[in-house]
Amino acid sequence: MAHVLLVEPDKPLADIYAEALINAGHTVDIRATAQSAVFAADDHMPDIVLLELQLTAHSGIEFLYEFRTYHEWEHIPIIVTSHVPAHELQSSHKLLKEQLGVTAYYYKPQLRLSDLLRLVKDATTPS
Amino acid sequence: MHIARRAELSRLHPQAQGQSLEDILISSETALSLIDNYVLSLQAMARGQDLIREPVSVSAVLHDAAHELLPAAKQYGVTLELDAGAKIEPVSMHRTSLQAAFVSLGHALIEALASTGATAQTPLKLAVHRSRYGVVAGLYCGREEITVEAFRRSQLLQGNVRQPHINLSAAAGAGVFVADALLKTMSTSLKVSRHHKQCGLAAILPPLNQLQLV
Amino acid sequence: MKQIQTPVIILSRTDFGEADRILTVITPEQGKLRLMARGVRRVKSKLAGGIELFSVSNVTYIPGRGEISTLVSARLDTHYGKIVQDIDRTMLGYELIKLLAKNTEDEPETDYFTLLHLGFAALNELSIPVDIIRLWFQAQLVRLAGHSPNLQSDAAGERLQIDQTYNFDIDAMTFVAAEDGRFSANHIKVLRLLFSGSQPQVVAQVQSISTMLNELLPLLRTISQTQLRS
Repeated sequence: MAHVLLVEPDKPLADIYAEALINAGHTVDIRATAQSAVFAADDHMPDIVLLELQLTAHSGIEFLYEFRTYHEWEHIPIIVTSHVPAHELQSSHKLLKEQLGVTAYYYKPQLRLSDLLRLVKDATTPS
Repeated sequence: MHIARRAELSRLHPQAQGQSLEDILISSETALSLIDNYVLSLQAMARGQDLIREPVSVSAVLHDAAHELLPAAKQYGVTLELDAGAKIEPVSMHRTSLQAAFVSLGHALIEALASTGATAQTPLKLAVHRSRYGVVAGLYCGREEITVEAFRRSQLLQGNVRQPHINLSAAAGAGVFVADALLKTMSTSLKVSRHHKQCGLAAILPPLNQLQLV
Repeated sequence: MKQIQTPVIILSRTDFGEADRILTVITPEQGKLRLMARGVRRVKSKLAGGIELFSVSNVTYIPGRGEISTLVSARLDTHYGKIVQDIDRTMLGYELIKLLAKNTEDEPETDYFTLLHLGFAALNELSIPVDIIRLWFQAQLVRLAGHSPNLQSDAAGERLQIDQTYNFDIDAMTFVAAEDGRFSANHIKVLRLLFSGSQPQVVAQVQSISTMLNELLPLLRTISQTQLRS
């Protein structure tokens, strides 16, 4: 099972996601801010990152920029689940995918827990 | 969203149903409170200065607001404190609107504090004190990001950016604007304030000198 | 060893080895450079991305024999910190950097450095709508590449008239007079503003600019797609 770095400032939602992931057999590290998430990844390299873009102080995009400059983290899939609807960043999707290494982008209010669990499983199971 | 995901979680894991129902209740009540207060702000703005004012004990209003905020604070892991024990003169306000303003502000700051990950070190304090301008009542959280400049900028940015208070909150902070709108209908507004060296947002309320509550 | 000082804007950064970093930068006089910053990665960065991005720095470097020069020192000159305070602006800031990087050779002219600098300044001004900045930047890239549309005369060589409507020939990059054409004199005025040397602050002040740009959007998109690498 996978070690998930969950970058989510909404505490009740983070708790729900974490509970679902733990019940599915994963371990979860919840961080509310981009900076603490970088430190968390340094302490314990995650198998996957679930990322909200709207964070305090430094956005999820800054996190992506930083995270993707480290060779040792290049292979780690990052799934964005965000309050920012996909269509509002439509012109940036190519950039997000190709330059910032986002594996997939989901609009959070429409992402069910069952889908999230399936995404994590698919992204972290060796093919 | 909290409600939907909690409901889904309890369906996936029936053993968590009890806690899920509790959380769903809190989220529902928080959402309803926010909607109610927003509607109240619209109604108050439509009615202008016609709101019926009465002598109001600010300490009592803060006490009731704290009670209303407690479940949400617990859900977000934020510690609430109340510093409203001093004998403060009554003010002439629309009690419901005043309490709604503090509750709206409280919800926004609870969410903001939780989103910085600093909840353990930073309690949210509902407090009142006297100043030479009047009775100052509001919510304080000791975050140095609450500056006059940042607050003014957030008011200008409201509606134009996703995160008007980005250094303080990951969310849009609608509660701050609802609180400000409610207070403006009572000839006051939110201002950056300090209470015992802690930063926060508060309203200056003119005391009603003719009447003293015992 | 000869040392060169220059202002730079960082286009990208990648790690190299255990502790080093390679920065790709654009400069006013030396075009694009690749600079090796040694030993900067001993500790995981405190989100330095927020400082490096959208900044103009003054650096001193030693030219290398090959493609990579060695960074000696760097001093931050201007940091457009408001850009990272808004996701949409951060995203567009990224896009501008990538668009410029893709559409410039290794020896771009000073104008490209200035263009990116002006783009950041505009993004940092929160009152200027993001969409205006995007369209302005794309138009400027097209202009600097020498592919501006003909905004003075039509396909028949006649001066564009104030009371005439036009359609646009994307292959010829010129207007064609047409009854009930899609574009009027007002549209052409806005295009002249976008493709001139005016800054986005000026464009943003034009009355009804958002409406005009919405109407011009399909044309501007087509011009960008056909004239720029993305």
